[in-house]
Amino acid sequence: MQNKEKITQLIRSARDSDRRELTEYESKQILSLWGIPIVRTELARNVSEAVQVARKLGYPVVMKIASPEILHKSEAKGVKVGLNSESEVRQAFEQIISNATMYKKDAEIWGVTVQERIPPAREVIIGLVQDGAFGPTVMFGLGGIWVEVLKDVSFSLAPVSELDAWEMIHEIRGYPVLEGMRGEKMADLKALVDILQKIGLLAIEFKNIGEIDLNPVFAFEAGKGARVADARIILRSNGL
Amino acid sequence: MALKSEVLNKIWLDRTNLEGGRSVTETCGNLYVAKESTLATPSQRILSENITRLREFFNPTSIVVIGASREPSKPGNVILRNLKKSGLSLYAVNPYAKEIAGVKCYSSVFDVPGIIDMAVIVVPSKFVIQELKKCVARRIKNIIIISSGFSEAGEEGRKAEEEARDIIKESGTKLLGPNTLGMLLPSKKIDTFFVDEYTLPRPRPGDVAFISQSGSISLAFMDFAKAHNIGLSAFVGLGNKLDIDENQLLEYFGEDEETKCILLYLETFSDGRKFAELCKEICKKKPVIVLKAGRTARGVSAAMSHTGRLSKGSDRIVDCVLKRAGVIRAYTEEDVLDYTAALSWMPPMKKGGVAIVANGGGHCVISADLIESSEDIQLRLAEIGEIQKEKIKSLLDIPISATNPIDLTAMATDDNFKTTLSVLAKTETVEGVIVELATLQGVSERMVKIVQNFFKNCGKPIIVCVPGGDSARKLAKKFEAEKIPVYPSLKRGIYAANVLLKRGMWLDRIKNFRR
Repeated sequence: MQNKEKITQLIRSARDSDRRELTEYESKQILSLWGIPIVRTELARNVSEAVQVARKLGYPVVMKIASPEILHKSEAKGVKVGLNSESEVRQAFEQIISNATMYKKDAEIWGVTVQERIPPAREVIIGLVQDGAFGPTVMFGLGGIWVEVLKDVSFSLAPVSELDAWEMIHEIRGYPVLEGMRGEKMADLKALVDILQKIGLLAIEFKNIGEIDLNPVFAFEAGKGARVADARIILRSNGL
Repeated sequence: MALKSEVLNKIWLDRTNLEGGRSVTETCGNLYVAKESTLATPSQRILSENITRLREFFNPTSIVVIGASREPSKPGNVILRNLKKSGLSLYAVNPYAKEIAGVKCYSSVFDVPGIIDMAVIVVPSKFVIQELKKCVARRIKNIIIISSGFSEAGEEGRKAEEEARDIIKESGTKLLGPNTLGMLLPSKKIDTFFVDEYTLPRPRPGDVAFISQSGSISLAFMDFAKAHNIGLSAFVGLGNKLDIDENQLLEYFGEDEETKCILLYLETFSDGRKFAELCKEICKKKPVIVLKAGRTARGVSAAMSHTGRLSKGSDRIVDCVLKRAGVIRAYTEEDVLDYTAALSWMPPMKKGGVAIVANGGGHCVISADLIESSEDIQLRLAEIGEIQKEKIKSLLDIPISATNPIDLTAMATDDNFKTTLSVLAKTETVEGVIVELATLQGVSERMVKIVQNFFKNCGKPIIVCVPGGDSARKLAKKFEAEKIPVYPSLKRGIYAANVLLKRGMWLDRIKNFRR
């Protein structure tokens, strides 16, 4: 209950500052409050905080610009990966901030998010859209070329039943990738089912959410869960 | 029926009494709040009120045709003649004629005596509104507007529709159309088509309800249905869906006991979410087949996200949503016909192991290729055990291998098929059979009885393919006459059989998936 209020608050504060698009950091906070596992991510407002967080999360880390005005982080050269030491973190922080200011002068900058790097996993995309005919609809697909080129995705109306979620996963053509190829183990499909269902419920509970991208979501081997690595939540345009 | 007349009489006598009508509209506004939970919820009561109301709509005892015409080729004349066959009390409105086609004419709907259950409006679009007003004032509760020239024609027409909506609001009127063929109820011979039976023979009465958003494709389907012995419980043309829409009708035919299979041709969804929810319930009881056209023209409001861009206008959403709801999706008018025959005449399959029995090697090879290499075919060739194989071989007087697909060769006779089928009936791995016939001297019309008996005795679905021309068609018709699905190509037969599996798999998933 408390978490619901916190989510409402996060959405409201974006609304109040006339933003439809929540930052990655805000989006992840919402997901986390809703019980969806995310790759551990913390906001560092200055260099020393960044170093502190990195030490806490353990090296290597990933750092990304945190600004409500910069949503295409790579385009702004605001992402650094594989940072292995304190000096690299310090250097990255300064660079990200200066790149961001170059990309957009006067941009409001909250700082830099520091997130743990995670072991290789299969990447999937989970999303939500408000369809003209069907209303809130959840999407599932495999990351990378599977969605980019082949548009290999499946859908279900929110709320998503457990059966719906299993069907969504089995329906994509790239399913064998999740099942495991060349000696790979099966991905943790149960964890993906859980995220799909929770995203459906999130859209039902918070009607002003218009679109969601969880891209990528890392799916580990069966039993080891899945975690959202990057997220975007976009509010509906009709001032709800 | 007596009760209904009584109520209508009362309303007719007491023109100021709007109570009955108002309650109906109010409740209809709240339709389908029902979720997955089934019986005895408060919303169920509301649903059944909608059904009650539509039941009245589909059971009129008196009809007036407004805009009856003396000109035999005009819709206002054809419709009157078609409706005459129903034997119901029929009236016509035409200020200039005394009688048309033996039906007495009145100059206004107000002059028609007694109770009128239904009005069919066929006047030119510019006169429709005034006639509609009269009908509502005359307390006619069921109206079909055949006339076109409304929202499909432009802004002015769209405004006229708005006006019409206001006129019927709170009057308890049910309105079908405008811009529609109206309806065809073969068992009651109620027929509002503006095409005569000579030009377009009507399908026989049966158990398929067909709801359609297009006129021309519907007429083509009528012709199909007639030619392939598919019987209809009802045809309803949605037209511009001013009032009655596909969801209301779906709900009605879902409960209708005469209807065993529902078919929809749709270009737009009135409310896709309701549609999906309704289908999910109805598909547990009877198959629903949907031909959703306009696949590329769907809009999604925003697209700021990756998901948004991938979904925008995506037909994949429709595909997925319909599949989850248990709907069998058709992509062409041919599919509609093929799937209807299969689903309304044969039971579904759960696992999809089929045996193919043919009197031609080519038939066997093509079918095996289709089954094994088509991505959208889930059927597979059933394994036939050695014991059964030996049995088939020992019972036949021709040398064959009895491996599935079973090629009985060009020498095969009716009796060879009969023998083989009798073994397959008892072969557990075989869930269904596809019989593929080349028209040769060995096979005769007796095959119909043989296939029929197979189905009667073991209950396994059986589908027949007779590829070819006129001689194939001649044989195929004999199967259709006995409600055995028969197809003019191997591919169409295999896809139809696959649809039986799709339905069976869905039913199985819904029933057996544990939470």
